[in-house]
Amino acid sequence: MIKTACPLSVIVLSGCLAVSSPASHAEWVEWLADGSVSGKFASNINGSFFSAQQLDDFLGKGLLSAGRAYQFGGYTRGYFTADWSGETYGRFEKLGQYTVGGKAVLTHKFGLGRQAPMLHLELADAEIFSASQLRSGNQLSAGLRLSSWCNEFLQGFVAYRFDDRNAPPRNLRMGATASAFDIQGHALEIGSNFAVTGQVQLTTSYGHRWGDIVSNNLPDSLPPALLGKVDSIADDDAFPGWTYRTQGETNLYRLGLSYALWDGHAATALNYSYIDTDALALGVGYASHQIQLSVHYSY
Amino acid sequence: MRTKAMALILGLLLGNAHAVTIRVNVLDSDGKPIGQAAVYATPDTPQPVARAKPKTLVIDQVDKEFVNHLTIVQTGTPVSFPNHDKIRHHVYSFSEAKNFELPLYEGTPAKPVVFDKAGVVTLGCNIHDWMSAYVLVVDSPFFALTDNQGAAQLEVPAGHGYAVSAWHPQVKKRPPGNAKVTVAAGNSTELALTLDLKKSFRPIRLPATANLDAGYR
Repeated sequence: MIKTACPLSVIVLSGCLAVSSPASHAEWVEWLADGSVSGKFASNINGSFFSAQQLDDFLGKGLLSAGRAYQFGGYTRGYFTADWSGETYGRFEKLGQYTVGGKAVLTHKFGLGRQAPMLHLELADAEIFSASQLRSGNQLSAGLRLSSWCNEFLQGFVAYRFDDRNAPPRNLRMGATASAFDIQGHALEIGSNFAVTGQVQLTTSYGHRWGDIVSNNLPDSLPPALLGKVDSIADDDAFPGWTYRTQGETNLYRLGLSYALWDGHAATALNYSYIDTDALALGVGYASHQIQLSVHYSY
Repeated sequence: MRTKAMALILGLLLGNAHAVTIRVNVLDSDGKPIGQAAVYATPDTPQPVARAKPKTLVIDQVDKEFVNHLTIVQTGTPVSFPNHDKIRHHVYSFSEAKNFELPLYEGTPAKPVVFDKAGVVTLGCNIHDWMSAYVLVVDSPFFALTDNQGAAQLEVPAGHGYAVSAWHPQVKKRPPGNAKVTVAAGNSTELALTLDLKKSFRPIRLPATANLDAGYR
């Protein structure tokens, strides 16, 4: 399996160099400054296969993002931002982390008008600094999203995302050679945004991800016959027991409600997610419920 | 008929020396007042051919919004779309009454857009999809927007008949609510018009981090 890592500086610098080239015809159009804070409850935060071992927790999260937007002709835009995010946990403090990274987004609108389809390409990279040494590392993601307003109320979208997380090998068990948090995956998502009013938007989506998954369980939980089908095992420094990495598939169902504030510069959102994961090679799986309340601001 | 038309033309040209007031209250189907509704009176007799050159109106853009959600103008009125944001906008309309496009620009476009056909013109910005506004173009110089109490006053020459109409971006039924009145000199008239409105809707604007894509930003 090929693991790739893209330094965050590459994204931002290459973007800025590209748009500052005289031949690029790019024009700086605006500053970007976004932020959000959220509180979240996760019913199975350790992703355990066994209900008796499943742990729940509350977490708080903050996100800051700043950068510039460039215009490439009439219908194409580029966004280049530096991003910081932080997470703190109620019970499992060692899950606390912050990330520093960069993001490049290219959007293209196929025509004039609100209902013209829009393509959104995104490349993001971040360094993860976690209180859990196991979880520190690098995260790269790349994706595209095609969206279109069907009428004045309903927007549909489809998206694809590739994610690649790398972590140094630590606390390995059972002859594992690579980190339990060397994770790659592909995800498809289909969904809709429905404008209930000019201030309220309802979002529904279904996502399917395939690739590496991790699950935390007590050491004697999995029978020895299954341990051979696990790609990596490590002593977990945030939860009791071990963390296992294996191949799996995840179905994610999301329902969200957003309420615009301050003339649309801010919003509060309530999201519910049901996450159903199957570890295909092991024949076991787990489910998780997540509820998140967030406040967002854009300059 | 000819005499009436001449009288109307004279009235218009000499100013509203014999003007009377038509007070209009615009209500929804529950009897509640509708603010920022367009009200206009169309004379029974044809419009005078000779009239002063219409002044250029302004529909401003500030903080990624059109300043006025509804503007009412007489046919032939030039409208300028100055952009007072420090970013560029791309104003357009697909409406039958006026199909136009002002590609990405900052500041004030060199030429105003002339609204030369009566009807409803829906405005948008191709960069900021939540930006929306309406221009109601009418074949009459007698128009006004209602205040928060749903009231508007039209000063019209006396002694003629008028079709008084109301319109709002949320109106359900077409043609809009209207009434016929004849106003005599010295007598002001008051009437109520009812509009059946659909639910309040303007394209939603949300912060980028809400991850609920509604446009470029």
